[in-house]
Amino acid sequence: MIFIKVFQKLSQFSGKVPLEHWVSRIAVNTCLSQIESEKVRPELRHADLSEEEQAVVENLAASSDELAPDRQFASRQLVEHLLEMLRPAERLVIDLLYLQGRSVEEIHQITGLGLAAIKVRAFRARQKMKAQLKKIEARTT
Amino acid sequence: MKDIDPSTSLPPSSGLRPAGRTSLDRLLRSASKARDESTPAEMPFGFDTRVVALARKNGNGPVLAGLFRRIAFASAAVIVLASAGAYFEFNRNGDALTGSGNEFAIADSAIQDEVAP
Repeated sequence: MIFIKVFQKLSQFSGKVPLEHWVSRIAVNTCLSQIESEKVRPELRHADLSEEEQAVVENLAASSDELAPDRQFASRQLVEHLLEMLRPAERLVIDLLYLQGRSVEEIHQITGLGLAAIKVRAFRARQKMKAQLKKIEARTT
Repeated sequence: MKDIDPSTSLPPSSGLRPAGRTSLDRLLRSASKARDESTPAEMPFGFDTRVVALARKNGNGPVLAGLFRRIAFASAAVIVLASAGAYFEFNRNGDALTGSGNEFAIADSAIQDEVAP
């Protein structure tokens, strides 16, 4: 998103400041806008999901087996939808812990959060994601 | 941690609990595999952006225009030098041919003088 904004606003670059500073300012403003917009998190609806994501939800509801490798991309998109429902701090923990496969100790070193805080955030985030996924599954079946 | 979810699925290295089999666990495992494959190899923002930004900064792209002008001058200089070299070589070869023609005529007349009675 930042990259696209930089390209869109290239014509506004006056050259009075170094390019790095100008890009940094755009990045900071974009992030602030994103945080503002994320304060309002609408509930994820079944209709918002693509056909592949709906198929993943159906698979999860119908079977307890692992998802097939060809469902990985759709499952990642579905997880990103679910992550959008979380607070940024919770999302960070889930991303590092589950998607990047980092240990609690590593997350502690990266983020500076306490070990207990990481576990609590992961637990709460998982609860939210579970509840959301259950709602979607209920609409599917 | 009393209230940790019993089905928490974490990698064995995470120091918490082993992988679970709930829908969310399976979804997260599948998503984590896809994430590794789709990570871009390099950042999209790089040299090209800087060149374009610099061109825009100076207005109407004089940097690129200057670059093209320099390339055109260099190309023209190479063409002129190559043409001059080819012309010089052609003239020199023409002289050599003329010279060798005279030498043949002298040798021919000398042979005829010797052979003639």
